Amino acid sequence: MKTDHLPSRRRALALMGGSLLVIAGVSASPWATSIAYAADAGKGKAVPELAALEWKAITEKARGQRIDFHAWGGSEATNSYLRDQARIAAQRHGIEVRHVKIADTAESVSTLLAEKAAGRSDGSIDAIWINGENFRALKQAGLAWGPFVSRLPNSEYLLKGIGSRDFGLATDGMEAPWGRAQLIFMYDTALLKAPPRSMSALLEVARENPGRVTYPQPPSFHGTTFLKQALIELIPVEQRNVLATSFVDDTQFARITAPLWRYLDALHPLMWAQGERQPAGAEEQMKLLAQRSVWIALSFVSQEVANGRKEGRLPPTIEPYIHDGGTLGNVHYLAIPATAQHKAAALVWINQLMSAPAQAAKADPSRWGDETVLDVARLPDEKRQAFDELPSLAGSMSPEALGTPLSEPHPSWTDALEAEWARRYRN
Amino acid sequence: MTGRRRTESGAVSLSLTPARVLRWGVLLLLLGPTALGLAGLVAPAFGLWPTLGFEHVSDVAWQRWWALPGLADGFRLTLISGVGGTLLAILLTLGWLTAAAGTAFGERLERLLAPVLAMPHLALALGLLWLAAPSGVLMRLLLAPFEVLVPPQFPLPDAHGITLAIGLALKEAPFLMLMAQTALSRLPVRAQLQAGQALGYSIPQLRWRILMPQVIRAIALPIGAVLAYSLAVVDVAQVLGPTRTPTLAVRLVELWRDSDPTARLPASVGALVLALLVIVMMALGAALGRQLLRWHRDWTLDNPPARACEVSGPASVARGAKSESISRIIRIMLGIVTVTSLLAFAVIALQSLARSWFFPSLLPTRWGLESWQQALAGLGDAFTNSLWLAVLVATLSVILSVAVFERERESGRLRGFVVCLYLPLLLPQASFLFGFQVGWLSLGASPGWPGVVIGHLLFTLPYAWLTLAGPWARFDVRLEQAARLLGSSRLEALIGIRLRLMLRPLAISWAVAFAVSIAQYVPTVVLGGGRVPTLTTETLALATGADPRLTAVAACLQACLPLLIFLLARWVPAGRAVVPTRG
Repeated sequence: MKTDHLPSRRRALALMGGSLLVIAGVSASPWATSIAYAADAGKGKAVPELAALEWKAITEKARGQRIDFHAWGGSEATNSYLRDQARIAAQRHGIEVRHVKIADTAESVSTLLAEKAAGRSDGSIDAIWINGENFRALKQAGLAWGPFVSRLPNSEYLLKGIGSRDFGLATDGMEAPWGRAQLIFMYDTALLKAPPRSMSALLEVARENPGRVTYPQPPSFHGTTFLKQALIELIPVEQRNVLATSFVDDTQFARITAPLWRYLDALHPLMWAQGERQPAGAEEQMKLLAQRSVWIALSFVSQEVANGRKEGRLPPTIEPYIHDGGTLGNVHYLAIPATAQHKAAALVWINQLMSAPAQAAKADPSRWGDETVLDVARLPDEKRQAFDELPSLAGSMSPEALGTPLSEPHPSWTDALEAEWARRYRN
Repeated sequence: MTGRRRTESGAVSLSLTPARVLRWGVLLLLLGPTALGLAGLVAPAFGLWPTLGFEHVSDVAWQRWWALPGLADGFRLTLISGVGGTLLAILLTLGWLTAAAGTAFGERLERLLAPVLAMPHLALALGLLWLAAPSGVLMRLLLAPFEVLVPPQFPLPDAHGITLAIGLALKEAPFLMLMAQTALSRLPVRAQLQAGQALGYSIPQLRWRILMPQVIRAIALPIGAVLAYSLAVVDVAQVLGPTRTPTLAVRLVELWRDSDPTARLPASVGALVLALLVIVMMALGAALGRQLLRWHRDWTLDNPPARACEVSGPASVARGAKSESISRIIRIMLGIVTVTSLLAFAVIALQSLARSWFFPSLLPTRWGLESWQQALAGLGDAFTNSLWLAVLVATLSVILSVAVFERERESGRLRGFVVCLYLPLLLPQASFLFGFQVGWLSLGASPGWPGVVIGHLLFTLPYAWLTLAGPWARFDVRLEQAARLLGSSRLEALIGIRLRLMLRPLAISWAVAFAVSIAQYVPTVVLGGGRVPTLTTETLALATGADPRLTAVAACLQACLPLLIFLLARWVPAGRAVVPTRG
């Protein structure tokens, strides 16, 4: 029989304790040199060395660099588009672009925070597809690099005023507009005679067809979007401007949002799976729509239906529509983390994605169908041609049909909506 | 059973023998990251996170965790799905043991279950959902005669975690059966059965009374691993569990992914709470298991069974018929379980070949290889990464396991060393690895291959160890002793006798480690910094998208690699069954 297992257990414990102490020592050092957590960390920083360089010098510097580009990898349309663009970047600029396919942008923000917590300046991310809350987290941690947008030659043709504020937060030139999104809805024409063109009409559909309506679960991106869209539609029009600024106090928040909670209280029992399960995101809801489990879905890609029908992801009976009072629109961006090691190549890559040919290819509904951030009217003729030749597919949404997008409420509302939703419905 | 012998004196000397270096090396490899991970948890749990502006010890993290809405439901769900899934898997394994093991039916079952064993959890969960959901294939089959336009509505997945428990059991039962199988292959089964039959008892009686307790003892550790896994599983719970009040593990991941970085504070507390819950449940389970085995032994001794040779007449015929019908029921159950899992697999394969497949069509309306072409264009790197990573990690795991066993000659009972080995399995992956990531970066390492290899080893080594522990302890040491007496060195005896006779368990252990490595998501993402794309990371990214066909392709690829390895492992010669009593 073995007799010495007791000391060995003691040794193991001592070893664990020892390593814990070592760790504490190791991790204390970077923490000692931590940067204060402040909303405007990143302002008033030293001028980046690249800022002093001419664009030509930047492209020279970029040649031969390899960048890690973090972008959501859930859509084959997006992935294959980025594969093509990476090929072009290698041919034209001598840059190797590695598309790191992530399941959620917050994971990448997590990584950056971890690198920062460890006091590392050589980050593993060179460029990132981002917007809204994730950009806010990045900026607040002082991890957004810039300003750089105005230095990109292709930024000349950007739509006037686009990308100055992201979900109400000033971007300060730290993220470059890449595409425009507008909330669209879709329904199955085989099951519904007419689409519900407002939140109250949606509730009617739910009353007539219990269990056939749902929305993605907040705080997922599309779930929170649904809450905001409902809030804007359900409050009196004269109150809408309140949402543009931070809410004053909890009483005001409760008063303004009361109609929303009344609405959801009525809707939830009538929803798919009685609301016990909600789709994780717009994508999952589209899968449910394709199988007729639910009869309505939503998306932030205005040409989603055209693309899905062509690809065979969606049945041919699905049609897009929007609400009568308009729907929320926003912009998605490309940013460079402050800890990126290959900023020159990241700049060249972002500039390429902003070019007219790249933007036109992205706007093609048979490829991806993401709206361009360029002002097509201002483009020189030879560059505009690519946009003029874009095909129109069955299930496309014309710019006229989309109308003017509603603007995003101030972020303070978003946070409070998510918290209040969880408090009310997660118990 | 065979006695264990120490091959050297028990005196502890402090010289640096290679063996000692090795043992401490392995311990450091496992404990270092675990301690790093824990440190990365403990600090934020006590309100310390200087980079986010939390610079003093406080209970802010605790308060925020306990204030989360829906926690009580989360606990309830975690227990129902985790404990329920484990119990169900044990029951299935017991059923297999008493009614199928060693029979022709049992062998067929094992062959059929191999793909399920190899299938990553996420893939199986998706397949089950596509099979059994209201718009799933089974429902379409039932509704085919009635021209129904829309799927019915019933709660699947349900809000109580029952669907999740069943899904976990379907995935874990084959693993426990494999463990039981390797345990059986090391037991002198034939000798025991022959002796029992010579005394006039029937085979089912002997299985239930003699073999079952031995096997359960031998697979205690794997059962523990299954319990720990089921209580902390994330991806399956997201597919088969409720979402509005999800399990604790899903809750943790939600907090980690929150765009508000300070949500990490309550997440750290939650990670510690979940780890504690796992440890408490393991301890309870171990105590309960021991008690049940004790009762079983007393019952066996107090109720000597009727011998088949003594009784004849209607009573024994009736009894024989009764036990036969019980066996038949168990077999039917096992058959249903196996067929369900295989159907899930088939649905995934079909889905990957479909262009359009909408309710209510029973089969795809348009077929095409486009999904495969698209996926292969983008998954080439991921495939080779997955393959080489798993080969490297599985090989290292088996070599390290053998080396440490050779040092320790463990009996498979819990000891300090094994507890350390188990720690990575007990801690919720998402949070513990985040702590590890911070520590790893603090040490000046970069994200990439080395981190991923160590991260995978943390989880494959315990499983390789688990799979080998039983066979290793039951090996008849007298064979090695004979070789030593005839003048072989210790190494020659190890390689020439023990390892050669243990080829099959070694191969299976390697295959299990390989499959575990393939299925790792969190360590690959967190420690690789995205620079090591694998089939699993790509599958999960695709699973968040709107295209089930691509998800199916990735899941197929993800399942095929381990499946191939398992098939190869089964062809490895079993070595001679070592029977202590040669008759």
